[in-house]
Amino acid sequence: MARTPEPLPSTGSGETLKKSKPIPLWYEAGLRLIKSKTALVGVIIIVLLVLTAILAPVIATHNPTDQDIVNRYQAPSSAYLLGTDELGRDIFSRIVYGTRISIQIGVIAVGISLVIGVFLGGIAGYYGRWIDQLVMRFIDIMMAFPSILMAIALVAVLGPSLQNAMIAVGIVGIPQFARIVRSAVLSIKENEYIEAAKSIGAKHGRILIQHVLPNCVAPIIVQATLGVGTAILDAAGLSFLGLGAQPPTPEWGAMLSDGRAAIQNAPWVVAFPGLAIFLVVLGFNLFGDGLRDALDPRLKR
Amino acid sequence: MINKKWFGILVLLFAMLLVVSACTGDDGDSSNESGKEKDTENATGDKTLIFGRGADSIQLDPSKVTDGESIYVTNQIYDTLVRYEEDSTEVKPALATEWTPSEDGLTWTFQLRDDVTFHDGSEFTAEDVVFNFERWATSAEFIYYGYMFGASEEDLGGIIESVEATSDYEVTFTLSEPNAPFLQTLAMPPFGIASPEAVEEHGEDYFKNPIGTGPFVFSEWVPDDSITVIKNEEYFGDTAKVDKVIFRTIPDNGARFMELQSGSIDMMTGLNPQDIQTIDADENLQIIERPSMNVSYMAMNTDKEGPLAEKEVRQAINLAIDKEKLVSLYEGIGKPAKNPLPPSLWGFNDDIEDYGYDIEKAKELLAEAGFADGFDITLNTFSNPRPYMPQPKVSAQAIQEMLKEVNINVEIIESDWDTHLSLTENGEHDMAFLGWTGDNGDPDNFLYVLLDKDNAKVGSAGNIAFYKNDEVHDLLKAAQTEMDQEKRTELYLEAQELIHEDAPWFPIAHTTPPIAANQKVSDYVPHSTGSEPFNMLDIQE
Repeated sequence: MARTPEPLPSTGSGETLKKSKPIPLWYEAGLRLIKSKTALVGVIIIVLLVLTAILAPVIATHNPTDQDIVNRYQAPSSAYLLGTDELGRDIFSRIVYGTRISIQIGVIAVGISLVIGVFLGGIAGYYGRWIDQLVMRFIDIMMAFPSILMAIALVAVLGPSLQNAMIAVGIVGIPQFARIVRSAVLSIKENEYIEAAKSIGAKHGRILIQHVLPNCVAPIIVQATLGVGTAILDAAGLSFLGLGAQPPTPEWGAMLSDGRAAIQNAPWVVAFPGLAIFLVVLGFNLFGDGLRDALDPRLKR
Repeated sequence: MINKKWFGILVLLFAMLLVVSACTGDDGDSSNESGKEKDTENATGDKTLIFGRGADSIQLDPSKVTDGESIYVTNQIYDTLVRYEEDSTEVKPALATEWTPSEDGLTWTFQLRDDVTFHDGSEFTAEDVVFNFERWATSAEFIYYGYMFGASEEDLGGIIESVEATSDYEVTFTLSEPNAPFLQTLAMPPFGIASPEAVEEHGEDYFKNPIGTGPFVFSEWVPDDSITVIKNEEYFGDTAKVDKVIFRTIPDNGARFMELQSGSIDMMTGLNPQDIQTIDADENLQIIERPSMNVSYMAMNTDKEGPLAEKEVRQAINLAIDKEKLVSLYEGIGKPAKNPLPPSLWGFNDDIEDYGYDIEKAKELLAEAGFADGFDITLNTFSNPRPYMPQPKVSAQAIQEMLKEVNINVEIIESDWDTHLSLTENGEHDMAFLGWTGDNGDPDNFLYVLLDKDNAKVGSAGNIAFYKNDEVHDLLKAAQTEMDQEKRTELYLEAQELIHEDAPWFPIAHTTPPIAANQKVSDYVPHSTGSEPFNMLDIQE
């Protein structure tokens, strides 16, 4: 699993060495992942989600923001597959376009948590001492807030918009990454190859980036996958409260919120966006759990 | 932790499904059950009316507020010198029994009742009336006083020159100019007479401890939750038939309606229009319609530099919105508006032809004003329903989409009711939704309050379009001092034409606000002014 330290600039043989080493891990992990049925369900949901997002203009039957006030609150039918909402917009098309927003939220929010979290966790774990104390106590403070509450507070400061909701959800996700990376770094930095790198005079930054972090990839990937689900859920929550996506963006949480008024007469207005959120979050969680099992070396037979 | 999270989602989803199925299922069972609960609750024999609404009162001192939710409650606690008839805006005696204006309309003498006591036990006399008017005339905070009597920061008294107690039970008003709607105005609930002792005792906190002479006595206020008033046994008029009224704040329309269905509240305002059919089908519930005397509108801030300062742009916006479609969102409780005045009021100008829906013409006008490529603009709306606008957010989204056709890019800003009011009064908006329910059945109460330059003052604006037209001002002022109704009508007709041409508003609708109630509520007659004392209302057990 460990990489061979590379004192010299990359050479041809170095390249092949680098690539050939990790393959068994990924290969094995991939096999285990496919064997797990729940993880497979997760993969299928995510693939469908991505395909829907890419092919949204082809799949959608209507323009997601086109209103047809005369035909509002229509029940699902052949003309409107999942019915229409309070302004006569086609719910199916809105959900289809909503996948783009959900993926965007997932990727950007997790991207923010990942970059900042890995950086903080990395320096805390690697340098230790007062830096560790400072960073981790700061992370502890962040974790003391319920995540959605902190997201609401952040959006309240930044102003309600989809972009700010993504930033807020991203910031809220930082502590998980920081903790996971720190603990991984703590154990990796005791390995002989790190000592070897130090002994031949490699700088701290180089050791951290070239030798320590690549070995933390597995837990980071697991956390990122699980984090996407949480991020989508949190962002939907913010939009439901009117703090995220602004009209007429077809964001699922906002659709839920707007459809509340008709829950008794037109339950499809809230049922389908709710189901969409549920499925996607479920997909990422199943896949994330599967990944964790697959990548855990302790599970090796 | 992650597993817990998606287990939570599952539970939530099931809960959601349960709610949906419970609501579409047989309603008979659930209402029977809650009926039983009610019976045991009421075993003491107290008749309690629970009234559900979308927003809490802001203050319970009617001289500090203009919002309907505050007035709704203060109307139970306070009396005015005169009151409106139960079913019209004709004036009838209340604290005053008789009144006589002088020939020139400058002096009004009121005879007062001699058998009235405040809720704190102190006796009501002419001095108390003088105290209240003096209190109002020395503070710029009483927005309604400014609206109705032309008072301003510089001239706090407005047209009321003096109020004197000419005997223990006689008050004489001296005006600086004749004021046609004067008597009508005094019947408005904001001019409720407060106990001077209580005002002096509580000072700044008086609005939390209101003391009046009305049919109900204030009992408790839990902010954002409920206000409780109890029957005033000593009331000089008809004593209340119910023992207690609880005003509960339930912000969400759907949640409030579910409470009504389950029987935990007896009456509610702010019904989602699409729930009306559910009520028609439910034999336990009834709809009581409030007579229409209101208008909802989108004001365009003419004071802000930019496109809205141009008349052509405002007209173009009027042309670019399909009003028929927009008003169809009211599900039959609203009619399209073309004037600021409701058609039920005298002085309504029916000769005015509305702009109509004409995209091409709108584009031409925009091009003429130099905005052929459109522009970005914000539209302020509020989160809770109002009687004149049941679905503010949905309406805003409809307008957003319609204006896209003429390249006007609308950003919607939604705030809660409090914030929305202060924001618009301060003129911080481009375009904003608002509405008005007539207070006294006089056109002056619409046109002067909402569109005169006197009321376009930043900080307390009633005229949130900040529309300033001297011609209109002269007409409205002339109509105030003219006592002959026919001549006043002429003046109002002309003013409406000028306003139509300048288009400071996009008038939206006049509604017949529905109040949903349990069948056991009886003898409730909603008043066109938007609130009424509940002393005649009864509840069958």
